Amino acid sequence: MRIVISNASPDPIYEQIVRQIRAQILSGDLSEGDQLPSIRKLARDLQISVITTKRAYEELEREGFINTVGGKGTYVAAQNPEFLREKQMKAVEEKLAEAVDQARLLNVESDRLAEMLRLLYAEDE
Amino acid sequence: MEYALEIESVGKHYKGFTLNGVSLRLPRGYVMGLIGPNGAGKTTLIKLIMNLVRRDGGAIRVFGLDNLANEAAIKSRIGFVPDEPRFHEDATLEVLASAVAPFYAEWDDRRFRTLAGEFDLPLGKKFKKLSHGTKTKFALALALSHGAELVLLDEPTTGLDPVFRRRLLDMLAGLLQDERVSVLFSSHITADLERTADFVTFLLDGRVVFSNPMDQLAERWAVVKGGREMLDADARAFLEGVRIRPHGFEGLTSRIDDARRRFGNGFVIERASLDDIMVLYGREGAKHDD
Amino acid sequence: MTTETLRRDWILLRRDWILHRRALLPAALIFATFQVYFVIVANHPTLWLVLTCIYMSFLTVIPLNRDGKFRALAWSCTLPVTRADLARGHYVTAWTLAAGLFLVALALAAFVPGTKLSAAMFLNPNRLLLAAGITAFILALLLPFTIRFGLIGILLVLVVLQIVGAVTFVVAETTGSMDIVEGRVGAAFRALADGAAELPEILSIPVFLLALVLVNWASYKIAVALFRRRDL
Repeated sequence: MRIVISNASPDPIYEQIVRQIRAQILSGDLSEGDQLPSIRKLARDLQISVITTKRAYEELEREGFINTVGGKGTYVAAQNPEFLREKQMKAVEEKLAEAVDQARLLNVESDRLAEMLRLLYAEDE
Repeated sequence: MEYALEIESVGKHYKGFTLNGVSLRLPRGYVMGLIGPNGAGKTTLIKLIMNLVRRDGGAIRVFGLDNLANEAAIKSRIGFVPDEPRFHEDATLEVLASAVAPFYAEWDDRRFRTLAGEFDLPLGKKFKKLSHGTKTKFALALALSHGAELVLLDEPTTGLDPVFRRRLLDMLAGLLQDERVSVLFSSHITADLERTADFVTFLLDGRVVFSNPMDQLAERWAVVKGGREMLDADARAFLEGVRIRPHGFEGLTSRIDDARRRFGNGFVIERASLDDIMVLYGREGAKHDD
Repeated sequence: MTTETLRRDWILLRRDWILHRRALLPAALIFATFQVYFVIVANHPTLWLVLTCIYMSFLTVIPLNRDGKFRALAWSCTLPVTRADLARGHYVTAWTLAAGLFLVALALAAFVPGTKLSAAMFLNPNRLLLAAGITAFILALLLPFTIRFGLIGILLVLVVLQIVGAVTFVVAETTGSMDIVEGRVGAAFRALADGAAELPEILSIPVFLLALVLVNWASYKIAVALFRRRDL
C-alpha cells in the first residue's frame, strides 16, 4: 500500500487517504483479503492524527471497500465485479466531467473535445 | 465514550488572572493539543489537573475519577512534563531517578535506561549543569518510564531543536499504539499539533474559545481576505477577528458557508490554519495594525 | 490503607535521604563537633539536654528548606502521593533525623573523655520525656510554617521570637526590671527542668506521651490544611 500525504493539497488529509486507497483497490494493487495496517499504525507511519485515519477507514468501510473484523484487523472487502465496474465507470465519468468543465471555460466546442478524446484514445493503441 | 480527562467549568482566580469556566473532554486513546498565546492559562490548566494549584470550583476527572479524591492513584498513571522542570540541582540525574523510581509500582528501569540512552542524557551529571532542553528530556524520560496512561506535556518543544521535536512527536505516536494511552500537549508552536493532534482546545485570556476535533476546524474556520476598502462595518461585525495590512485585510470566521455567501467577488476565502486562528481570533483590526 | 500509608512514609523518607544526605552529613558533623566541646563544658545535665534538643530540632528543617531552595516542591507534588502524605513525610523525616542526632549526642556524652555527663544520666524516663517534649514542641511549631511558607516560614518563626526577645529586653532595660526578667526566665527554665523531674508525680508517663502525640498530630493536621491551600 502506498500513501503520500500532501500538506499543500487543498483536500483534507482523510480524503487524500480515502482517494489513494480506493484507487489502489480499484486498480487491483490491493486485492480482496489484503490486510491494511491498523488505524494507529497508519497514523504513526503517516505522522497524522489517529482520528483522521479513523475517519478515512470509516469512509472506506461505508463505501464497501474495506471490512473491519472486530479485534483482528482491517481487510480489503470482496468487490462485486458489477459494482466495481460501475464504480470505475463513475470515476471515468467524473474525470470526463472535469475535462468538460475546463473545456467550457476555454470555449472549446464539444466536437473539438470529442476529437481530442479520440486522438488520446488512439495514442495508447 | 471513555474519557481519559474530563474538565467541567473549572475556575481559578489569581491576582491579575482568572481561568474561567474551563471545560474540555479528552477521549481515551487520543491526543489533544492545548493552544493559546502566553498567559492564556495553559500552564495553570495543566497544574490544576496535577493539583499543583487548587481549583476554585468545577470538577476534574482523570480516568473517570475525581483528581482530588483519588490523587495518588491518578498520579501514578500520569506522566507529567512541566514547562520548566525543576529538581534538586545538586543531585545527579542517576540519583534523582533513583529517588523517583520507588514511587511507581510500574516503574520500568530498563525503559528508563533506554530512553536516557536515546536522549543522550548525562546520568552522572548534576541537574543544574543541564541545558533547558536536556532538563525537559530528563523529565520526559521519567514521565515515560512508569507506564503512564495519560501524558501531560506543558510546552515540551520549547528549547528543543527541530530534530528532537520531530523525534518527540514520533515518540508520542509510538505511545498511542497502545489504545489506552492519551496525551494532552500544550504548545504555542501550532505546527507541532496541526497534523498529530486529534483534538484541539484553544485558550484565550483564561477562557476556552473552542475544544473540537481537529478536522472539524478545517471545515468550520476560514480566513477571508480582501482589499481594505471592502471591510465595512457589517463585515467587521461578522468576522471574529480582523487584521489590517497595508494592502488589504485578513478576517477570521467560524461560519464558512455564510462567509461564502456573503463575501463574493473580489474576496478570497481559504481554510484557516491553527496559526491563523490563534493570531486572528479576537483581534480588533485597528487602523494602524501591522 | 495503613500499610499503604506506611509504604508512602517509607519511600518519602528514603527519598529525603537520597536527595539530602549530601547536606545532612556536613550538618551532622558540625553538630557532633560542637557536641564534643559542649559535653565537656556542660555541667548541668538538664540544661545540656534542653539546648541540645533545641539545636537538633532546628537542624531537622534542612531537607524541607532544600526542597524550597531548589523550587523542587512542585516536582514533589507531582509524585503519586497526596499533600497529606508529603506533609506527614516531613514529620517522619524530621523525627528520624532528630532521633539520629540525639543518639549521636548521647554517644558523645557517654564516651568523650573529660565530660561530667554520662549516658546513664539521660536514659531515665523523665529526661527522655523532657527531650521528646522539647523536640515535639519545636517541630510542632516550626513544621507547619515551613511547609506553608518554605524558608521564609522558619525565618518568620525566628524573627518573631527575636522580636519578642528584643521587646522584652528593651522594656526590661527601660523600666529597670532586667533583674526581674532574668529571674523570671531563669525561673521558667528551672521550673521546666524541675517540672520534668517531677513529671511522674504531676502526669503519668502515658498521659505525657499522649499529650506529645496530640500536639504533633494537631500540628500535622494544621500543616496539611495549610499545604493543601498552597499553589505551586
